[in-house]
Amino acid sequence: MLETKGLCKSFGALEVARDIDFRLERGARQALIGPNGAGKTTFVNLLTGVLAPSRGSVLLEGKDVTTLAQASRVKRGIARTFQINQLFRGLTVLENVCIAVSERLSVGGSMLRPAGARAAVIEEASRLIGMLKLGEDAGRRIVELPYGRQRLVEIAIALGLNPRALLLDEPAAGIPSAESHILLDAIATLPKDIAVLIIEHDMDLVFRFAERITVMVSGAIFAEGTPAQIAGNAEVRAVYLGNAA
Amino acid sequence: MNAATELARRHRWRWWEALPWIAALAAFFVFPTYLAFGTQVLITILFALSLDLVLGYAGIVTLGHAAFFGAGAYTVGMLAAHWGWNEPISGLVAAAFVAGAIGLASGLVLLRTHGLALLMLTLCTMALLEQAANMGAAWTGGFDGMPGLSFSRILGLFSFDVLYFRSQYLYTLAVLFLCFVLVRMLVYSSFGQSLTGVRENLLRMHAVGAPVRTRQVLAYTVSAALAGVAGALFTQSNTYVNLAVLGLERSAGVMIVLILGGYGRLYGAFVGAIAYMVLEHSLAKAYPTAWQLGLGLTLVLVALYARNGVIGILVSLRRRFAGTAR
Amino acid sequence: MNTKLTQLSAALFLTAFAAVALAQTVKVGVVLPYTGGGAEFAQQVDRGIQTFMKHNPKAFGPYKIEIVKRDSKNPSGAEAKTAVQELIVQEKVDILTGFIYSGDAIASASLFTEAKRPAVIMNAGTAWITNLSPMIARVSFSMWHAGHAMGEAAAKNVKAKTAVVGYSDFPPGKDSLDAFKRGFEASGGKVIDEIPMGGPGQVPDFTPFFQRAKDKKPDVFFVFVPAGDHALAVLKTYGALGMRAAGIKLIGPGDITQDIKLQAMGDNAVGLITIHHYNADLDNAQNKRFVEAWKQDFGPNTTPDFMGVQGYDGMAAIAHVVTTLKGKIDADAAINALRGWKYDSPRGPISIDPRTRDIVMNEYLSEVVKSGGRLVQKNIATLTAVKDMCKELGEGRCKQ
Ligand SMILES: Nc1ncnc2c1ncn2[C@@H]1O[C@H](COP(=O)(O)OP(=O)(O)OP(=O)(O)O)[C@@H](O)[C@H]1O
Ligand SMILES: [Mg+2]
Repeated sequence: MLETKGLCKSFGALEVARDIDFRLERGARQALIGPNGAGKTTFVNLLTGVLAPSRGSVLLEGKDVTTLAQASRVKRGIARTFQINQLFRGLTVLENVCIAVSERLSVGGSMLRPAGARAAVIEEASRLIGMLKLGEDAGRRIVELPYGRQRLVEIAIALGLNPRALLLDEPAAGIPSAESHILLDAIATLPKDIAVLIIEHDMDLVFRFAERITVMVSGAIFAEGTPAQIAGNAEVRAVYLGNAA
Repeated sequence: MNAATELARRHRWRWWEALPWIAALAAFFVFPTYLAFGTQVLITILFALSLDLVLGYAGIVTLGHAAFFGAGAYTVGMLAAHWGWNEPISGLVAAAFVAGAIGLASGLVLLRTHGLALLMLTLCTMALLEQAANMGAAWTGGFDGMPGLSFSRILGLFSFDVLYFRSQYLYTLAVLFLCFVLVRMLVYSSFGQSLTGVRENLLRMHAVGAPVRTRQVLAYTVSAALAGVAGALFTQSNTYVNLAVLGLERSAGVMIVLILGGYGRLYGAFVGAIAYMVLEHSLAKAYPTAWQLGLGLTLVLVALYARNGVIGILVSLRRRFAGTAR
Repeated sequence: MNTKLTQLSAALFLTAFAAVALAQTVKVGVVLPYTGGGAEFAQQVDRGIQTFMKHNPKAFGPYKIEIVKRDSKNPSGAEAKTAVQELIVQEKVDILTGFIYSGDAIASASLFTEAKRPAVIMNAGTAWITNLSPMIARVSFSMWHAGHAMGEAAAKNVKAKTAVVGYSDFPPGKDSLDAFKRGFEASGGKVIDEIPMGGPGQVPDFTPFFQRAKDKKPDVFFVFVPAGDHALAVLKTYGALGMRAAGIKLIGPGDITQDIKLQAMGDNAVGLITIHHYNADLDNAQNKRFVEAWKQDFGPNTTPDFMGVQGYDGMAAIAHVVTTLKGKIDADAAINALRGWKYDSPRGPISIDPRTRDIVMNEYLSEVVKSGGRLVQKNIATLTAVKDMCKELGEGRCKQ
């Protein structure tokens, strides 16, 4: 459903995406792995429209969305989390999630009704917060939360957008390993037809979660296959897994 | 209290929100000889409130807000001087439209930029308007201004009080109240919530699918219209307007007022305007040549020790108090 | 003996008290921009007021004067208006004075009328200010005094037939243009070009304007720009384009050759002809006394300028009102007392026109010459009893 064709991007002389042909199928549980600086985050930025590609195109369900702004891609069902938290730091957890839910329900521009009177928005946000075990912290401002809990808010916001394709950029980085199951549990509750792409360095988590794995090295797709295929790929072990395992 | 219930109740009027208005009405009776000054304070509150919407809520840093104040001020002035349109309330509406239109047009262009570039462009817009007003001196009166303006009775009932400013004070207070109700509604609406989102994290706001620029332009337009109303009240209450309504001094002044009171807090404009102007006024009376020293020192202290303004101090005190009580 | 002393002091106290109670106190509200961009002007006027009060203690007769100062801050008019309003309703002042910026006087005019308080304007030079309220009398000048007189003098004294006018594009500049043109053409001259030369805020590059003026080959080039940096740039450009050699005389208003700034202008200024109603070198007894008192009070390096003398004369006018009305200020009577008032001022004989309530005074035409290595202003003609011609001719807003 989400697809790229010949996607290229360079920062000056540095090529960070080289001719990437990539597919994320409906309902996929896919991982994108690769060494630091491989271009994974850049790739997500290209998919979501934060960056414009130098060449190539991005297609969502067959339609070309390459020139669409971020907001319209979100409206069409692409949601993402950030490798480094991008939250409304001065607002409460509940407000953070409410902002996302309001946008999804297209009431974010409504001027007349108080935000507090939108019971549907608050209910949905509260449900997501509960799901990510953030209920205790719902009334606290982001700045007051430990980093690991903030990571969960990132995910709650992305889920609040009710995506069809969910792109998670190192969601577990910074979450204490004892709590990383909260994340996986939350993803497990998602409807099966939602496609999930996870970028992760934690191979345990990758192999627990992914049904397909794409390996990216120096801006190009290096290998792709089932977890078993990737684990058995000697070249992948050499360039990446070797130092991770 | 549960966070959801708290959010659901946040927009409700609290009892203490009546206090500023009761105080303003009481001032009318207690300080009958201070109403000219009081009217200026109320106008500054409205102006600061309009700035709060863009600066405090939407996080748009501007040094050109006087452009809209001036646009409103000149709208009623020129309508009265050249076309005999001196009915005050329709004048306010016209001023809001003109200032809002300028806000919309400039916002569409300006808000493509951020940071210093935006700051410069807001300044330039104001300078442009100032230059236009100077060149069109045949229409605006330029530096000499428009003398002898007169406005008809408010609602056809209350004539402007030249000496004691009684009707101007009450009229300005009523307009301020209506504008405040509007701003309060906006701030607590989903739109207002999304503006705080824009302020807190632009990148994230894009990533939740919000039409960020549309929101900013809307906020800028509404804010410009309100600043225009403040400017119109300024001209009407003083029955005079000249080029000084458009200066950087006025833009910077209202920003200081808002920062002093606390921005993004709805009542910051009230606290800031009253604290700043009362302090300035009484110092200037006591030391007409040296008052700026005292005022400057106070502002430096506030900037050093109370980054979030006077209201910020109160809020953090309450937080600390609530924290120990828990 | 002790009791006697007590009785004596009690008696003394009582008589003193009675004397104070008998002596009427007249409250005068002074509104000046004591802070901000106008602070320098305010200081001149304020010192003029102080000088008069200190060195003419008898001028007020037995009546006590209480001065209440208010800062009018910026030139928006609103601050001045609030200050005036509070001086009237809170301080209950009898007379208002001060007003540097025209806007301040213009905005406050309706208050003077409504509250019936006489106002003595000590600077604000927009010609039609005196028309705004019957309570206004002006002891300073209008832009037309110098402008019109300069026009006449350019034709009669400088013997010019043609002139080009270059002016900063703001009200005083345009007023000066109009005034000069009327004065010059009424005396047989012809203005052959009018060149707006940018705003008063920033100093423009004057070269293109001056080249245009030079190409017209006029006898005189009348330039109206704000004193200070503008004036310095004007002289530089005039020198650089060799206009003097081309036989074009530079003439202008007197505030660009103020004593403090004159030396900084260098040799380019030699030959510059200006007109003004005051300079510190005026040779009359009143002025000698005034300048001496000033230097004694505020330091030998300070010099009064035209604003200083306007403050001085303003207090003289108020003293006249106070003594004429025997300390009981009635507004109409006060204004009537000012109509036709004559005074021997440091700037020469002055009076208030009974019809327009504006000042009538001398204008001094002078030329910058070099003498003993210093630039000095040599008086070349005195135009006596000059009125505000804007109101005399009924130009624009000056029509009554
Ligand atoms: N805006 C930018 N300008 C220039 N270079 C950039 C920019 N953003 C990223 N890069 C560079 O592009 C390369 C790819 O960066 P990217 O963040 O996509 O890698 P990544 O695979 O996500 O790495 P990590 O695993 O460390 O998150 C890096 O070398 C990085 O320094
Ligand atoms: Mg990355």
